[in-house]
Amino acid sequence: MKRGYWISLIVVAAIILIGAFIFLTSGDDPLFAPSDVKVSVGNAPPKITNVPFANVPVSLTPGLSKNVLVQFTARDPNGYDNLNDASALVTFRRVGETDRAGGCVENILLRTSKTKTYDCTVSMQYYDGAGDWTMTFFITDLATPTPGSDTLASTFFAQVGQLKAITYNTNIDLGVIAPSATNVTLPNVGITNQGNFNVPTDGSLSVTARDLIGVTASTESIPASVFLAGDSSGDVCGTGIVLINNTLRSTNVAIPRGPSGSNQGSLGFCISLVPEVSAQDYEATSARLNPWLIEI
Amino acid sequence: MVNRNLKLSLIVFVVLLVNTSFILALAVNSPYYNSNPLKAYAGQEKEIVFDVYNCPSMSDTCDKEDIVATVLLEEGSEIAEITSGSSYNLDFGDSGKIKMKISIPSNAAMNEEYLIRMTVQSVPKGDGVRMGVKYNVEFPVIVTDASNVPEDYVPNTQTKSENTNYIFLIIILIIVIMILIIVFSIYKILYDLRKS
Repeated sequence: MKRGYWISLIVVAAIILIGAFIFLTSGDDPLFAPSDVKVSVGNAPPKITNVPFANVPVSLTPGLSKNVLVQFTARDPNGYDNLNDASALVTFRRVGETDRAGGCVENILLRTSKTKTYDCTVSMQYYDGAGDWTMTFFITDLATPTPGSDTLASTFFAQVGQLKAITYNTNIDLGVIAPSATNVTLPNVGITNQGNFNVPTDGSLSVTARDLIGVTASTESIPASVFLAGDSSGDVCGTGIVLINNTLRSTNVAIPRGPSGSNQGSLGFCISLVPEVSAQDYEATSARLNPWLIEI
Repeated sequence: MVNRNLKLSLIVFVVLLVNTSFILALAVNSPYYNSNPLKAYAGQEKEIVFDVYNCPSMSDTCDKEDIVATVLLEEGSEIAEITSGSSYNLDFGDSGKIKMKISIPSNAAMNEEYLIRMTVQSVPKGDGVRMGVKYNVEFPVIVTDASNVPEDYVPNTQTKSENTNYIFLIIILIIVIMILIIVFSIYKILYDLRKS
């Protein structure tokens, strides 16, 4: 009895399903008749999903540019191939500095069905200011006529280090000087700044002078205190600071940071009074343990 | 005698030996400086690196000479130690790394501040009056909460070989499973045949 009941139920259900199928697919305008279906899916703009999760340290190279690598990931709901690789861009910004922008290439190993990760290279200059630079990422998709785009600034920074790099002729050309001569101006020492440490904004340039020792008669010397030092654009003999033996003395020399040609400074020396010492060479060298030092 | 005295009184002295110029191009980069302190937590040990250069541009404005840079920790020895040595021979165009280990005491108080000061100097050889260069590298170290210590950024450097390794592992696993299925199937067929 029970078995018969189940068989009847299945037969009835089958008849209902067959009947419903015939009803829905027959007639002039059947409900299930094949028809064209067209759905227009609009372009979904890309979205930048991942940017650096920590500060990016930047160690500049003296006199050269330095490539900095950062990554970001963009997602396009229309698929990864809708992202416009050529538009991927990162810009480093800092108030008072020239923007540094860098193009990107896809890191194909990190691709997924809807995302691409880009390796971006930003070329920083040796004179770019130390401190935090914001990192802003940008990308568009390939939609026409109006591509979708996204911009995202990282909450972290490119942290540019402080580069101290000056070059100069290490030899002070004293030439030939006569005893008792006064206010003898010496040839200037040209200094080139190949870093981003700005003198005097970030700190001053100081000189440690030491007494010059006679080469033949080492008991004789020219005291450091007869020398004055200062920015050669001024009257060094009149306004330069008096140097003191083995003592750090701060000068007013300016050595700006900047591109080649704008990063020059000049240190001038003056001998206020040439002492009456014997005619011989006088030296200040590392061998005699009395070299002078320029310090920033 | 008179003639000799006259000669002495007219004589002048030469301080500089001719043609001994030398363009020094030592440079040092510091990730931390006065306005950018290092933040570390109590008990933390951290290595920081300073790059030193000898004219990496290899420009004609530098003399093509090797130099020796001397490094000295002037302040902060209670928490800092230079681990890479005090003397650096830098060939022309070369660079080096000064490594400093910072060890914050585990009992350091929050916001406690230490000052690190290191000097990097080089004095060229030669006669006359020589002016070496000395760079002051100075920065504060501030003790802070561990959550405020920033992580270091490392770009994702996943390589193709790593990917290939994963794929290879998956293929091996599939093969092993297929072999197991085949073995068990054969075993079952044989078992059924024997039983019948």
